[in-house]
Amino acid sequence: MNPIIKLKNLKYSYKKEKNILDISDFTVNEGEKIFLYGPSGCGKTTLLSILAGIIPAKEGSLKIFGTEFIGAKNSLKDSIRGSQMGYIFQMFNLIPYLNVLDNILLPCKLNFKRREDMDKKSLIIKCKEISKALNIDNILTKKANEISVGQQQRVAAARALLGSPKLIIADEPTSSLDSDARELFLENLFSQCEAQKTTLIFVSHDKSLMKFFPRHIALPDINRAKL
Amino acid sequence: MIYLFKIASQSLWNRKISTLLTIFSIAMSIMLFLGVERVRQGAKESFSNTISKTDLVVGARGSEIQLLLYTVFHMGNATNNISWHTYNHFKNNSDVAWTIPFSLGDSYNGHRVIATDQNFYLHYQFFGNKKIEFKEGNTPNDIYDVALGAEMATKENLKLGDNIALTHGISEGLGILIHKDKPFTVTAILKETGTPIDRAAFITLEGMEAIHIDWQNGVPAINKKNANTQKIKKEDIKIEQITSFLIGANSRISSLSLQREINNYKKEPIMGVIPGVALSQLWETVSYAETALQIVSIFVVIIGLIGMMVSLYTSLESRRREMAILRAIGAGRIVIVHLLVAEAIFLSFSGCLFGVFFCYFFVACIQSLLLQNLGILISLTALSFHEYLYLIFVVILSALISHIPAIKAYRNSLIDGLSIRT
Repeated sequence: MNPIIKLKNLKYSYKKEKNILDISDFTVNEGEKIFLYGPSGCGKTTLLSILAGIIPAKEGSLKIFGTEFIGAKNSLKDSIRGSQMGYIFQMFNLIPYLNVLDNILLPCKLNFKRREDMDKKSLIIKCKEISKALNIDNILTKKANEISVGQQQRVAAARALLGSPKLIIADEPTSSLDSDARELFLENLFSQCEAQKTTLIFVSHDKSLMKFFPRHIALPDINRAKL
Repeated sequence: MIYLFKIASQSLWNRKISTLLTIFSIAMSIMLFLGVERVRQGAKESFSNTISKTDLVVGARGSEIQLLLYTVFHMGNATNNISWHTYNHFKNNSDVAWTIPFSLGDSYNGHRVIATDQNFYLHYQFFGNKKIEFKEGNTPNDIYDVALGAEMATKENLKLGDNIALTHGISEGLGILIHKDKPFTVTAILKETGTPIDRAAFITLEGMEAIHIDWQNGVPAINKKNANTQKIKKEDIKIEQITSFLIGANSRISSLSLQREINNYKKEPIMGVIPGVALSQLWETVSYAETALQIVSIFVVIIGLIGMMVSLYTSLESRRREMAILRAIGAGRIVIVHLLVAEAIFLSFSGCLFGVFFCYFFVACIQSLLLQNLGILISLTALSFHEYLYLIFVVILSALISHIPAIKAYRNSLIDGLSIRT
């Protein structure tokens, strides 16, 4: 198994306060689907921000796709995030002034590496494929603020999936959906991840979703920092 | 980068009102700057073209600028007159091609009345080689004939054949002493010249002498028996003195020796001034105001740009979500900074574009008004190289100062990480 994330003795604190995160060992392998949970305020979003390379941890070791993130240049981390990761927020995933299609294409437009060898045409074909699978192909020309919350979350998923990233991080993406929409969203996301062999880290405090995931991690269990 | 401009423009469009107001304020400041420059050039052009092809202006010794002001611009008063004898002395000089005598001192409703002779209509030139032309009527010839400048005729609603009584001295409206006993008849109206000539009236030297014929010490004679208008004949009038005169020399070089001769003239304290030299001296004194105006307009542009920066800066708070999304999909510091710089460039560039457009529109609107009221002709010329440079500088400056909100945006995104605040 090929490790996507290899985390050792990672410590993180805001300013000089006591540690928020202190994780001795955590590894995620390629193609895994992980359910990460814990009460709010336990450092879930902070961990995700560190994994995405947006906030820098100074102590320990964090290897993402084999690249050491601790002490790495911001531009390197930005580029890895842009080209090989997808991120889905809890809500308000979309840039309000762009239409749905532009929102989905945005990461590929900003990071030429993510486009791989696709030209504009095949990029749009691929985008339509994913949109169809997520059942949003009929709203591509609408403005981001004209569609429902459920649609917005699926658009965000499509954006995260386009360009075949190795890792998708989803931070409570279903919390604004009702239970039917929640399961449908998960099904769609899973089938797309499997088709692309994408690793998924799914954060939620909703334990009813646990059953869909083969591996579960409670953050308070691996986090030695006591809050 | 091109894609960033696309995002930037859509982001700006999302905030239409504040974007349009920002562009408008930059456009107004650019318009002011270019407008000031246009007016300045127009004023300078009109100013230095008031007189041309004249080699020397001669008058009583004193300030060169003052001589130019009262002779050419009809402003202020002469310190002293010069004698007819002296005038003739130089008129008959072999280096002199032509002369135009002027006798000043009277007015009509605030319009200067200038006494001169036929040479004025033959030799006076302005705006290069333009000469005085008649809209109606002919050269005033008789004692009580008067030719009116175009603007004066319209303003005072006078036409050919009207009689007017001149006021002694220069005064707005009715003066204390009016030459009621000797009315003048309008025999000509001049074509528009775009110079102070438009606002003046022209009579003959004899006419000027005639209305003051029985005066003593600057007041009318108490004993009025000689003052019968109709009895005075042109041939009988002996001209005693004039105020100043213009000289056209046979050649430019001889004008220098003529000037020396005039300045060294022993019999009377007179001086000769080369109009070009005095004009540029005069313009220099005026140019302080011009520089001040320019500095003010530069500050207005800077304030416009600061306004733009403030509007970008305050927009950031409501755009934290947008920035977090951009960061999440791989936008680094450079992309965030470039996005805001692109927005600033977009704003200032549109501002410049509209500013230029407003400026031309404004100039086109007030062009005729300025020409009529101030005699300033503002031409709708293309932007000069310097002005293009200046506009480019404005865009560059806006890109530079937009780094302040840009860096703030990036800092915000570092603080927020991937937690979304709305």
